Amino acid sequence: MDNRRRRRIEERIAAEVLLALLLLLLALLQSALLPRPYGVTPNLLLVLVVCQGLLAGPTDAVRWAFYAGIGLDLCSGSLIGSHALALLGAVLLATLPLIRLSRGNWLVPLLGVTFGACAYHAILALIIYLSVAPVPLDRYLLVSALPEAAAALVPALPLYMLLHWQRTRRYGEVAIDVY
Amino acid sequence: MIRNRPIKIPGASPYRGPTLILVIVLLALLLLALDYFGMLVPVRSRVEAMLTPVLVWVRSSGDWLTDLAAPPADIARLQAEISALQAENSRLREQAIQLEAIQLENSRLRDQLRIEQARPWQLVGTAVGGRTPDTGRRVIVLAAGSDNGVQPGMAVIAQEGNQPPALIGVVESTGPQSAMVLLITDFSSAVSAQIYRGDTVVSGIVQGRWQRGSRIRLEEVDREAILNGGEVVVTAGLTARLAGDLPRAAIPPDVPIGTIETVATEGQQQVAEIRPFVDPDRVRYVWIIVDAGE
Repeated sequence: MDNRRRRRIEERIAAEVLLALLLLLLALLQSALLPRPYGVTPNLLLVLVVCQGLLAGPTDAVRWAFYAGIGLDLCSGSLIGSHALALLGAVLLATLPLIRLSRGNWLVPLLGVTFGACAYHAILALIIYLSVAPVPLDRYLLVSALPEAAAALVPALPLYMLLHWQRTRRYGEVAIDVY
Repeated sequence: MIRNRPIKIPGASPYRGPTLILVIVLLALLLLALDYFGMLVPVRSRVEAMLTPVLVWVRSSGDWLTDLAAPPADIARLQAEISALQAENSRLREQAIQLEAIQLENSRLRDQLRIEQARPWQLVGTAVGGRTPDTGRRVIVLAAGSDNGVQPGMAVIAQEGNQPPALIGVVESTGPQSAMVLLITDFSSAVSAQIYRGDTVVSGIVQGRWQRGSRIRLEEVDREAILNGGEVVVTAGLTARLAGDLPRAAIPPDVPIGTIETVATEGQQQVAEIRPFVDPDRVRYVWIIVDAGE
């Protein structure tokens, strides 16, 4: 292995560790710092990984979802892997149906976060149902899933626009239909 | 419609993305299974021991930020105080910060002493660290663990305003420096309870109801024992008397829980919605009953 290739691998590992630490820090802030009006808080990490999935594609976002999920599990005392699995499901369900839509469409983040929140809560409810105790799913939907999905929509558009702007500035993307 | 999909690099394998997704999903499932069967407990304990102090620190910083967003009158008063503090030298400011911390600790210890004088309990006080990031489960993380004598099954109490110190949850699991507490509002929480009425006692079970649309509810009450609004519900401590080896065995009797709000009849039993004395979602400092003194 030549030096150049080795250096590239080392740089990628360092970037991956940095990403994992950053998402762990965000999980920590979400668990301890975010306000909870009426017991509901906007799940910023869910919105973040879904927006990343919509902008960069699911392959990139599943790594974010995994690190963020493990961070949430460690900060909240839930089974390790439960939030990771829920976020992975959210990324896949949010990005795959919308993959052909333009990223400039402002409906994309709103639809993506809605789909993602549905998948996230469905998977979490299933894990709780199987590992803790049977929860009445209709009440869970009304009391937990729907309010949190609605709360997640609030930061969805601003966060998506911020990431889109940052990504456009970084990669200087050109619309493919121009060629 | 203009589409701006990422440009594919020639030569990149089309299977790389799906393979990575599959591997990560399988890894998450594997971790979930390992943790479910208790094989990640040592790792989890170590990580939680590292994270809990950080969580407590971040949470206390959050409280400070909340205080900054207080009403204008408070802001004016705080600004005046800040101006006064700025006039002091660094040694005095350091002393003021230390004094503030000591005062808070003193206040909490006085509360603890008052409870311990009124009750036979031995308490361990600790700050609340993290909370579950979603409403799926109602769990909090405490900055005290098995090194402080905390064990699974112990009752956790807190106090709010003029309300009596009341049950907010039960320790579910512990690490050396941290403990997970299942709040009484969680749907999987069930605590034996009773209502004193002269020389008789009405028994029931306090069931968490948060995920079902309310907070806590008294269930399994005999239909003939008429419940009234405003009656005080306390723990029965039945498990402690009957089966000392069960996880809930450390909940002593007569720990206040809340008051009855509304009563309804369901089949052969009565149920009552309970207003808890302490809102478990708002507590910042709690005490764990490590010895019920019985």
